[in-house]
Amino acid sequence: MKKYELIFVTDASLENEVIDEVVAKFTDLVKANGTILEATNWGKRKLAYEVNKKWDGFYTLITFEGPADFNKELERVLRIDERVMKFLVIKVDDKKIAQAEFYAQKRREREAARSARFAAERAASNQEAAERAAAAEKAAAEKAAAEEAVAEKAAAEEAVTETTTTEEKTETPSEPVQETVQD
Amino acid sequence: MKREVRRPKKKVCSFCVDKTLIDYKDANRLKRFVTERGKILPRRITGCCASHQRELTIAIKRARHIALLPYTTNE
Ligand SMILES: [Zn+2]
Repeated sequence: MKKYELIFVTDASLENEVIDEVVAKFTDLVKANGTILEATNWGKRKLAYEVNKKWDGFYTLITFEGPADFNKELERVLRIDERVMKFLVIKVDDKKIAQAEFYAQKRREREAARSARFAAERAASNQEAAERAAAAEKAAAEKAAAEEAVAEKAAAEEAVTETTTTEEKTETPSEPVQETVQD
Repeated sequence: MKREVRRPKKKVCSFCVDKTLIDYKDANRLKRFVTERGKILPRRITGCCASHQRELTIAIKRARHIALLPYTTNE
């Protein structure tokens, strides 16, 4: 018993029931001669080139285990069925798939570790940034307070020097204001 | 004596790096290894190692057979 992969394309311009019938026919044929490991319908797809003046096909993929001499029979039946536009039966290289899966798993682990590390780094830098921001805020507040104090001091000094002039200035425009209020 | 040899940057086989399966069913991935007209790109362009280029060629031919990839496109 060896592992094979059958992929066949049914004419998608046929009625859905007919397509189902074709798929069932070959699924049953495989079942009768071996064991189906996996069966997937890819569904309707646009073909890469025209086949019998048609552009759409219904793809079905069946992975199965069966005796070596069954393939010839399967291919013969596929060839004579006019509803099947294209088909391909290949032997599955289990070793290669297992190897690829092994490395894919390793890569997934590596990526998970890396993203975890990134997340940790990001969290740390966020915290750091928050601390930095808090410190900056504090410094800014202190600076602002200091500036305010300086400004206040300056203003007070200025006020002392300008008191005489401001008093005069404020008195003169106060009269028209009072007038408008009275009106 | 200095000999000047202008060589393009050495390419590393992407399948050796990724260690992924070359799957004839994955037409989208295979598309990157054919020209716009559907011809298989030579190894000096794909940068594949000999064994992976061979596998790639087989995968592309299988994909063509089941109409996942074109043999040629005349536009
Ligand atoms: Zn390689």
